[in-house]
Amino acid sequence: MEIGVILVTGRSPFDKTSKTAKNARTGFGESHSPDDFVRWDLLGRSVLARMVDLLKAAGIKVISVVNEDQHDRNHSKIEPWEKTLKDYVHSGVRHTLVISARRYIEIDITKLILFHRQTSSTVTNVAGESGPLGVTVIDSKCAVGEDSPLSSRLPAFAACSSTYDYDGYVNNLSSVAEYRELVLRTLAGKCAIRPLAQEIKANVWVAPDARIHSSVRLVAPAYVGAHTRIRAGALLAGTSVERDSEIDCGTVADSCSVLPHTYIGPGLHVSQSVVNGSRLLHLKHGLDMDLGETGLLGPKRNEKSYSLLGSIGAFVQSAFHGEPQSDAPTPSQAAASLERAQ
Amino acid sequence: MGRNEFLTEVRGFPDCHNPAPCRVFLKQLHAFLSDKYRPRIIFDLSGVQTMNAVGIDLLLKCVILISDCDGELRLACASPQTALVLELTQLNQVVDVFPTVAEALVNLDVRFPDEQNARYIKPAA
Repeated sequence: MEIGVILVTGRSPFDKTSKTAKNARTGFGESHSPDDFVRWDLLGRSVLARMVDLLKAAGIKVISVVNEDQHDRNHSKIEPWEKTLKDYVHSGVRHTLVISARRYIEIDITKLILFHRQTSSTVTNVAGESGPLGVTVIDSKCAVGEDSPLSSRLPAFAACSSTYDYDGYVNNLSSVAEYRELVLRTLAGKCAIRPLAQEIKANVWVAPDARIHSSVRLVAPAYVGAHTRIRAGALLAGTSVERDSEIDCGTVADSCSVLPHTYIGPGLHVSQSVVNGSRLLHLKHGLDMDLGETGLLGPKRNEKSYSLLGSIGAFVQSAFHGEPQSDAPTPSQAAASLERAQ
Repeated sequence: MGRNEFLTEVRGFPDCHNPAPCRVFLKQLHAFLSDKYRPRIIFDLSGVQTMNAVGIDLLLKCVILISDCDGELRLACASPQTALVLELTQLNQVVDVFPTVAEALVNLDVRFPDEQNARYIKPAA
């Protein structure tokens, strides 16, 4: 085996930004670690899974994913990626590619390895315009013979290391806005990755088992994932709806991403947001809210949202189309009715 | 002007985690409106931490009551979270929302620039 790849999630010694990872603004509150974005579904498949797919497509057969955040440094000084590297060396792998799986880049692995061999380097670092990209090629000879951790010995290889200049697309995936940018770029066909769906018209992708009412309008770019349900009268514009989600009647989703297992209630207007279950992150207002209490959205539909729609719709109907109704139903009394909402 | 035609009143909207203040608020508003014609009311939302389903329910009831009197309602001082809920439900297109009570007052008084009086009613604890 010539080449092995180690995808490192969490803190990585090869990624300068990982040192401040804990303090980075994720846009989803303190509970989300920065590398969560690589695990989010992106048009049908997580970014991390897509990285693995791209590596397999490049002919790489030995791939491991290690999570540095789970490493207890008080217990062992050898980091998980180093252990994996040593396993690779014992298995006969000549060059190991260590990739910090925190950002999305489209690097040509074949060209990188060729460059590494041509420069006869022991270590090759990949750098872009903004600096190191957390991608490093390490020769097996680095990992043998010594007892001290490889991570502490890496600076010593600086003299015999080289830098591979990468000028392709880089998405740091350090914020929700960057996640959205990658979604839109993929829908526009500007990325190597493709949505897991069929393109039914230009930049509109729909999974085969998605259920979409005939009155739904899909305005490009749009993505509707597997096992989703888009109910009557909904409008999706610049929006991705990941698997196992539901958009209820009459809702307008404009420039949004709806993550898996999310229900959005009827008659709502969701714009410039990422919705994950009951959590909504509004990109324009910079808000991160849990709206589970309102019943407007959540992991599954509930009757509160129908009651609210009935009440709001009844008021709009009476205020703009007829006599004021003092006995108009309120959420505690209303039955659901799409016609009244319209 | 026996029915206080141009009275402007600012009322602190209750935080609806507890339903009791909401019931008191609605009762007080109902009593206030009983003999009013075309009242102008501003709800001060600064006391609302999060607009939940009970809060939206109460707001809708109030909107209906005030519209029955041909009154005008404005909302003011909504927190970012409350403003987001109003935007999601498109209630901000039914009732105008202003950053401050002063701006809401100016909006209501634009046709009557001499009127500056407005009384403030706090919500029940």
